[in-house]
Amino acid sequence: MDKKISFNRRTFLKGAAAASAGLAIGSSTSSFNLTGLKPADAAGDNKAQVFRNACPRNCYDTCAILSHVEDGVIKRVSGDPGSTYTRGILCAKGFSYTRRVYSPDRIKYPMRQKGRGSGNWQRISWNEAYTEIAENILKIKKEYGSTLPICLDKYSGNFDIMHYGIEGMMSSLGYTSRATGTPCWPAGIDAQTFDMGTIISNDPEDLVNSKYLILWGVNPAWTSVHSMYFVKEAQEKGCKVVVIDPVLTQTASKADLYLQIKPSTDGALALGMARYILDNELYDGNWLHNNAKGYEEFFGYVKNNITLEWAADKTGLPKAVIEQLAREYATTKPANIWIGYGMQRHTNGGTNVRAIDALAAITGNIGKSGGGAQYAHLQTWGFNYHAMMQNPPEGTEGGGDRAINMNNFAAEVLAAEDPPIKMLWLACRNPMAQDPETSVMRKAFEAMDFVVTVDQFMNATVEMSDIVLPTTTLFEAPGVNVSYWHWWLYLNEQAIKPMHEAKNDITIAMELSAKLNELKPGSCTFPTSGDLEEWVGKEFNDGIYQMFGINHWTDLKKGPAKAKNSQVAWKGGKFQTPSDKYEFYSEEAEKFGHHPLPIYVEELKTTDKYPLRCISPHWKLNIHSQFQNLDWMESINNEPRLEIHPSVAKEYGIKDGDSVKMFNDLGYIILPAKITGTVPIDTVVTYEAWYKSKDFNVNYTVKAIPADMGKKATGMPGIAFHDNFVNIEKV
Amino acid sequence: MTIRNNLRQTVAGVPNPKYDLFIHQQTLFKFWSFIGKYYQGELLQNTDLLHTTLREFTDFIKPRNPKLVEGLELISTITNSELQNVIFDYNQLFIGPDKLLAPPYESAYCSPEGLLMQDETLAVRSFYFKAGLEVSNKGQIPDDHLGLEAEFLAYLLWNQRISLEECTVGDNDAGTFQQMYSQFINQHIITWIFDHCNDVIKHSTTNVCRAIALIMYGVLDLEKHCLV
Repeated sequence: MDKKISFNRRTFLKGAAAASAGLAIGSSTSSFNLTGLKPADAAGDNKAQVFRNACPRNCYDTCAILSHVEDGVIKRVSGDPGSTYTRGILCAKGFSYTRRVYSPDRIKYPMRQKGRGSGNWQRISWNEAYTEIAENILKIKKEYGSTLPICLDKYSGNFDIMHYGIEGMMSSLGYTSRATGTPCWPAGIDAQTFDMGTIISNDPEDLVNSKYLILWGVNPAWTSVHSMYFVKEAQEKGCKVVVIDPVLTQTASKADLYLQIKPSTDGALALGMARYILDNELYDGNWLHNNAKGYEEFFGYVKNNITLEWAADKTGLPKAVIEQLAREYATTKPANIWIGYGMQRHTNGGTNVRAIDALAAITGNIGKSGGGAQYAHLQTWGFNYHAMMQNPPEGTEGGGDRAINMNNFAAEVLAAEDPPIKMLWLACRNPMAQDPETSVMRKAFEAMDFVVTVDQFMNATVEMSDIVLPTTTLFEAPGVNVSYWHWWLYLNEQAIKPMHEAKNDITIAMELSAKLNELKPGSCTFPTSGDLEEWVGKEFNDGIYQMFGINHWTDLKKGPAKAKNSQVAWKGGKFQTPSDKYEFYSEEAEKFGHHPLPIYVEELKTTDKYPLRCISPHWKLNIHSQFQNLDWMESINNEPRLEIHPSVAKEYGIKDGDSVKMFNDLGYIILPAKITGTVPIDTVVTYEAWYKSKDFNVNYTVKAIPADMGKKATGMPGIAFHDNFVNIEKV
Repeated sequence: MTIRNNLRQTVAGVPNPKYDLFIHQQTLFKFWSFIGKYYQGELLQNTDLLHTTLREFTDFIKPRNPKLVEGLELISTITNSELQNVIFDYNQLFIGPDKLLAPPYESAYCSPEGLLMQDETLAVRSFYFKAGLEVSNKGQIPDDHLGLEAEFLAYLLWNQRISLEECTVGDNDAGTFQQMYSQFINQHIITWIFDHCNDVIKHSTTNVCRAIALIMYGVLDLEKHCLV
């Protein structure tokens, strides 16, 4: 307590007498001791500025943002018109960014929980946090002779390139355990890898050139809003838009033709169409002859195994509809298919994508403007990954990092031996909410000695952490962003100072390294200081400069840059498969335990006990567990719903708004029913979302069932999120 | 130390109005100094000192309204267990990491969207600047954090006392500081402090934080009647 302003009690006794004894404060020339305030400098920086930012979320659109700053405060954000994909507009989530930066509920300071899960949090200084973390790391290193007991679970919460510095931080400690794989899209990636060699998609701005567009298991009206502009443009130029989706989505409502397919049977539809195309000789024999391998075997399979009657029965679509679709698709040029990630989150997701790719190949649509089989690409991601590439400390023993399946994370963390996993580092990920089998995840967290989470807001993972470190938003640190869909490159400038005590992940890595080396010299190789803008600069190389036609990364401060020559994927037919051709017949697929051809693999079926399928697609107002926690979003939609078909509802005696329990042998959720004909019969739908004040998580019922593919390109198979079988009852 | 005429309780046998003002300001100074430190996170490391300081409230704050009565009474009921848990209570109310139960920021209560760094914050920044001050971590810690606003008020009161003591006139005279104090209370405290105190009273799990909120409510309730 500051003595200068302390008062002698006697001065203030009730009654006057004591007061005349004088002021015990000290002489009147002593000055007030300021703590949070200080004498003002000259009039501050009031000037209005506009900064360039980029949304680093896991989203097709990765928007170019302009942040408008006055008096050091972001007044509003807007889309950058300098990008012909963003076109000056953001989505509802993007526009809500100021509410995220300036939320009173943001994690502001490092905090330590006294008893994981207790809710009793103490504020600590960064120095205290680093000290405790470093001591734990060094303790583990000493006890186990390695840092393998430390496990990183990090993924798509932030895709800014600099955030790979988090992996770099781990590498700089030694060899560690790493959550490996990706839950989102690996089955489809493998499928396209087997077929074409890797994932490359057309510039989405090229969608305007399509004359026939199938949006297959994708809902861009919600999840890639900027693409809808190009879809609409295409429609206005005469393109027929077909949506194939078990759910009548907002995108479907804008289609010329909507086909409500039975979930997980997409491969059957594609193969049925292929049969029609084969029978009616609507395939492009020339293209196949020049560019494909194994098409005769594929045709043989289709002829001998696939009939339109079978396809109609499997998919629930009338035979005549399939025939019409096949005829239109094969004869309209150019014809395009956009394959969604939701579509491949099934046990047969990968092979279904292969079958759809095959359609594009047999009709000669691959490598054409306005045509192709679009999924994703990583062509613009050729950075140095300088922040990521760190060396282990001298004297580190062992062969490398240990891979832990991200898609079966909890079970593998618990099962890890020699050495066991004792410490978790969570960043850009929220596994307590996101992962299937929540109860197993909880057990995994409880088994840890020490858990550190880096985040911006309270969530289920932070709740189970020992220490939480507050991190910066995109506006508070520099970075660089590209997309897995469009072909633009955006610099992210620092627009404002970090709020409260938030720090960027690279800053955290540098300062933790400094602490580690202070306690034990040589224990961490991560640089202990550095300017963040310089770190950004180090990510660039000649390849990027050439691809984007810029001289220096600082050119990006003047505006975004687009990849030259990005228009059309696989133009000229030079594929990246072992044969350099499009491979219907893939020995690579065989090596990974799949049939070499894109055959139909039976979909998982419901059981008597759990006769309903639950699909949990992506919601429009959040990106996984981000954004929905903001008050503003809560005011728009604060409640999950279980969407049930009217005939199913009738059968179960459920009316709109009734409280329904959805359950299986794993767990249950209780939520209000919404009766709607937009969902298929025998399928219930609840959107993947989390609500700040509700204990709602569809993952209570979701098992970590692997998808068929994903191991080749991403190290682990994907998750069949939409093969969740349940039953319901009115409560 | 000689007592100047303007600070004597009576001067030439007549009650000195400036004396009452002086005592009143000293009470407020002590109060706002405490609030400033409390909301800036000091006093929490040493709960014994916190307890002692709280008990001293009964010496210099008269229980003139129900909130003050209740608050001062609560202080005497504070247990050791509550003192041990005050840090968790305090953090849940004011710090995080979960949704704040009583965000200690003017703009959280006054701005249309309940956010930080809004117009109110910048108005406070201007006010500080007029008095020749600014936030040390300007742009990072919101200017309208109650800990800072309280520190500012204590600063004004301190300077007012100096002026009273030295009987200065002009820019530094007590009247100017009095005016700034009144304006700031009217524009930046009264507008939200009662809602804030009510949130603390409602959500607090210890009588420590609740007592302080009751007292603050009570003091400001008196203040708003005193100010011109």
